[in-house]
Amino acid sequence: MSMLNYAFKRIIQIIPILIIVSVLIFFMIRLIPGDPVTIRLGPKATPEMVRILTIKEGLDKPIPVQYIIFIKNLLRFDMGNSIVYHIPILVLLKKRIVVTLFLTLFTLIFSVVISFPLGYLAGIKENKIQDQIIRTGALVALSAPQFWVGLILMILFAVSIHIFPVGGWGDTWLQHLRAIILPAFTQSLMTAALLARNLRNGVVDILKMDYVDFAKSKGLDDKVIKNRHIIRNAMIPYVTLIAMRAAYMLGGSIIIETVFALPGVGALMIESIYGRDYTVIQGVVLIFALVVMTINILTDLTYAYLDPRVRFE
Amino acid sequence: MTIVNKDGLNNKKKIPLFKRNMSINIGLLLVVIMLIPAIFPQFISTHSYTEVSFEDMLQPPSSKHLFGTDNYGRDIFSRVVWSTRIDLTIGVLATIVPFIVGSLLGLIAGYYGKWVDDILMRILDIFMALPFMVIVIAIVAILGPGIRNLYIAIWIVGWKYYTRLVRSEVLIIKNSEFIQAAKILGYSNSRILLRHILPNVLSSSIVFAASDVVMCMLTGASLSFLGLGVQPPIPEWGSIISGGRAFISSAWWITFFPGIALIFLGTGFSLIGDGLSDILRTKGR
Amino acid sequence: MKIKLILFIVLLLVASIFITALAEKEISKQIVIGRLEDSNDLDPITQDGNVNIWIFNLALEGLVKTSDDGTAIEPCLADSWDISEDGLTYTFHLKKGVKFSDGTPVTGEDWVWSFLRARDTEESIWKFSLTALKDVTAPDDNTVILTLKEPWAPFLADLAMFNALVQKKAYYEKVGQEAYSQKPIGTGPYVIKEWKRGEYLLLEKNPYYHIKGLPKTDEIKFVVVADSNTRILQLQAGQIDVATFVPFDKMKELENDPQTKVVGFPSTETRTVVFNHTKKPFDDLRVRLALEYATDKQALLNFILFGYGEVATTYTSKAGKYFNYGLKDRGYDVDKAKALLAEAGYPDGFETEFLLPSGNQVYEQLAILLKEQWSKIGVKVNIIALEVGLAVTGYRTMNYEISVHHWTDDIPDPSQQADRLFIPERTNCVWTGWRSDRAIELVKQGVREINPTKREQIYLELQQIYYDEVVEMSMFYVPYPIAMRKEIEGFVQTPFGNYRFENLVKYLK
Repeated sequence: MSMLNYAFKRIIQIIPILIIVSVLIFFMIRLIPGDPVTIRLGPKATPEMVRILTIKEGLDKPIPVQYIIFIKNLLRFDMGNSIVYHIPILVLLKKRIVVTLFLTLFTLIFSVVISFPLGYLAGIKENKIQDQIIRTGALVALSAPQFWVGLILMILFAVSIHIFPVGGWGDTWLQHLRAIILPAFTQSLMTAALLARNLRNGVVDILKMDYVDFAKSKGLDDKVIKNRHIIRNAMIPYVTLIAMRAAYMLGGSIIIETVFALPGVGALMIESIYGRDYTVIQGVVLIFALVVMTINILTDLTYAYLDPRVRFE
Repeated sequence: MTIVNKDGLNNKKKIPLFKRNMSINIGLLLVVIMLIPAIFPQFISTHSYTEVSFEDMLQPPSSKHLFGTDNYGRDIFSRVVWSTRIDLTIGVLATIVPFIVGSLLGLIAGYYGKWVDDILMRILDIFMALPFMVIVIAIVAILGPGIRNLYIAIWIVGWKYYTRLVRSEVLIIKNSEFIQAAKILGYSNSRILLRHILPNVLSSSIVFAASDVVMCMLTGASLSFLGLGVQPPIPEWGSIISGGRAFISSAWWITFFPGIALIFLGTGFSLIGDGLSDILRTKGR
Repeated sequence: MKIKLILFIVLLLVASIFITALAEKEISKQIVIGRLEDSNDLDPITQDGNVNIWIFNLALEGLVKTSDDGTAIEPCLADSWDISEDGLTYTFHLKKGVKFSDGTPVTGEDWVWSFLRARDTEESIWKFSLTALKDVTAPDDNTVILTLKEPWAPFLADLAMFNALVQKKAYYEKVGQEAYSQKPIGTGPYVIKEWKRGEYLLLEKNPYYHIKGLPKTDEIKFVVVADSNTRILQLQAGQIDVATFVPFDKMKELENDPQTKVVGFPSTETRTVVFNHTKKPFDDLRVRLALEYATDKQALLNFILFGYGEVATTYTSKAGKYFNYGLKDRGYDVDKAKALLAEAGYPDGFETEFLLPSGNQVYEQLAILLKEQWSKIGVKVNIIALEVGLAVTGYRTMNYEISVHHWTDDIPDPSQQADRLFIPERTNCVWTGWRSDRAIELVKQGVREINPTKREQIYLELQQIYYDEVVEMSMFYVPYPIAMRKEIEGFVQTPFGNYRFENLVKYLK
């Protein structure tokens, strides 16, 4: 089937998933003991105070009714107000998403910049000294706890010498750039290690394939072989992994955001879970689902482009 | 990624044995070294891991306290030693179930294709669409705190990575010549799956699993910090590091040593994973 | 003649040198304060906590305010007041010429509207403080008359609370509730200028402030740095000028750092260990006493708070009114503790669960150390660390054995805390499940008793009851731990948490 059909088919498939996700998350979080009002008010809250706030937030209604109100508003592109922050979720998220996206983007950039040349080199120099060094380096990078590395880097480059700010996001785009470097670098180490290894293995495997020899024997020049065969084929798992890591980071950069005081979505999510800010959790999970599935579709499309065989599944 | 020998059908290329197995050897060595404190912590540690001492607070490493003391005056070396068992268990147990289940699912989805694949992929999409940490915390919150529920939570969300990885590899190998050849030869589907496809697609899964062990250990650490995993004062590398964060500029040793331990054990597993995938890759048919 | 001239010039020179030396050092235009959490609603009436109160209190003012040390009520926008014989009518004479930060004068209508809004807004959780208010009138723009339904002893204190501040009616009606929650206006030294959620809140000097020459610093910027370690590091790097809620173990380190200094501002915050009296063995007074004797509070204070703060002897802090100085710390006596336990029928101790809300350093250390200390009398403590939401549910459903709480006063009067602590309908006596009819009776009398001596007796007795019955185990009075750059002067925080920044400055080198 053509690329367009394939893309269309995938996009349609998202809708039932989003519905299921919304129902799941809506009911699941309300099952957790504790509610936003009593947490907010603390131990000295009287029943009267709790009652007033509960009604104010609309949490006194039965859950299915709350769900229907939620869906109704959703259709009008209104995701509701945060219970804790009292402002519309989309407004709250706008700034936060930019931060997390920025972080993820730069992490991926660093990861690819580090892993691509190193992984390729390791692959073509299989088992030689370059390979051994790169692989060992990757292994160690994988085992280092991110917040540990982050703190060490912060002490070295932000506290002792002020090249970078000590956490925070800054006010101007230039400051944002400075602020994102250390956290993105910290986060990129693990991803770069995974990517480098993935690429290295891919390259090694392809080099062993008979058609590479066949192409060589036909007299095709090395560069052509490199581009057409090696890289293109190694890209599929490499790109898959990038997509997976991107999705993982979008949903799990909480540690980095905490250590570097970045006002991102991860930090918001943890706060919201602690504070049982139902509307924020619902809203963010839905948007996250949308983003992840978009990434999936794009990945699948890239697959289909790189390897036509995949398209016909 | 078909594994075919370079010189044609008959002569297996000789890869020097010691080079191929170096990774595994070193990796196994590291893990085995860590097994000692894991199994026999009482013989290695120098102090009790819970004894509080006001006078010994925040002491740098010395002959009395090899790794220094923390803000309760507890000996870090002993705490790190006793944590080994807990972290090792968390890492391994939290990884094994998703590895097995996830890989199998990926195998089935990739090979049989069509509606089996469609359904599995849609389920996978749903799980992928739910942010990891959120779900883990929610599950543990509903089930209550404790290590056992931590496992269950990680199992529920952990399988998806393996499925995706294995499936993508299966898709590629599925249409290769030697699989077609096997089909023509009349081999049953399950034989093809298990003996021909599986060994070749598992490599990226295994590599991932090795790093997953480390990631599960770190996830366990984060959850313990949030009060949803290990209960104080039980030691666990991640929670020791978290506790030491407040003192990073004044008592760096609290954070430093558990981190080294994690790297040590993690590197061990990763080396094993690497070595294994090398072997699987070159085995060939 | 010439000599006189020369002498005169010399005198001038000397004088000018002298004056230049004395001249005020240059101060910074902006001061950056790092805090834990962002505000969420700056409308004094609808908001729900300190994160908001401490901010808008810089922009809005009321009739009266507490003194900087929290012990007395002082005039603020009211110069003086008279209270009728029967205690039902309060007449306030207002300061003349006070304007809102937009330049318009404060009218009597604004005062009336503000009070009625505070008392009658359905969604306000603070309206309890003005239930005694019957009516409010403003015969002219300089007088406000408040009449009560019955004599109400804490009334002046209630007026110093954050919901009794004057607000501008016309402004509210013009911008609407939502915009008002972002940017209310008042008569205070600062104006809310800009608020970037989750990042910073910028306050700017009020050009119409009724005290000339104040405030000294043009801009105050509150930035949100949730992670304590990062906040401290930022302070040390000079990225922020003041850090609030400094972890106590850091206080010493920052004190020794030549670039920073620390202050522990006395607060009304008390930390207690709570017993669930409905679960055995905590229903037995001897057991509770035994646990108190088995607790070395001073050692815990040194360990956890590094010597900052004080050991608590009663439920109210020293900044609170009518503190009962007659109650002494029972001290650390392991043998007595064992004897009491044996008497109560637990000679070998018992096992219990400690409900610990996670994420709080002080609480965690307390739990771990109490576990150590109590093991000496045979009491085995299992710490159940729960995420805050779960912990809250736990104690609100009385599903716990031992836990930890804290208290802070909102008003400079003992009646609020007494009400929460002793009236079962409020919070089940802060979730202890205990009750005392005598205490309930006393609390009811306390709000009506106008005579200060008699009133004092009531509250002294209440503290005695609390002490005798070991309702909770009061642990510490915890100060507000603030750290700042050496160049900062004039930072004041009252025991009720309010900032007084009129004289806050940062000297430039």
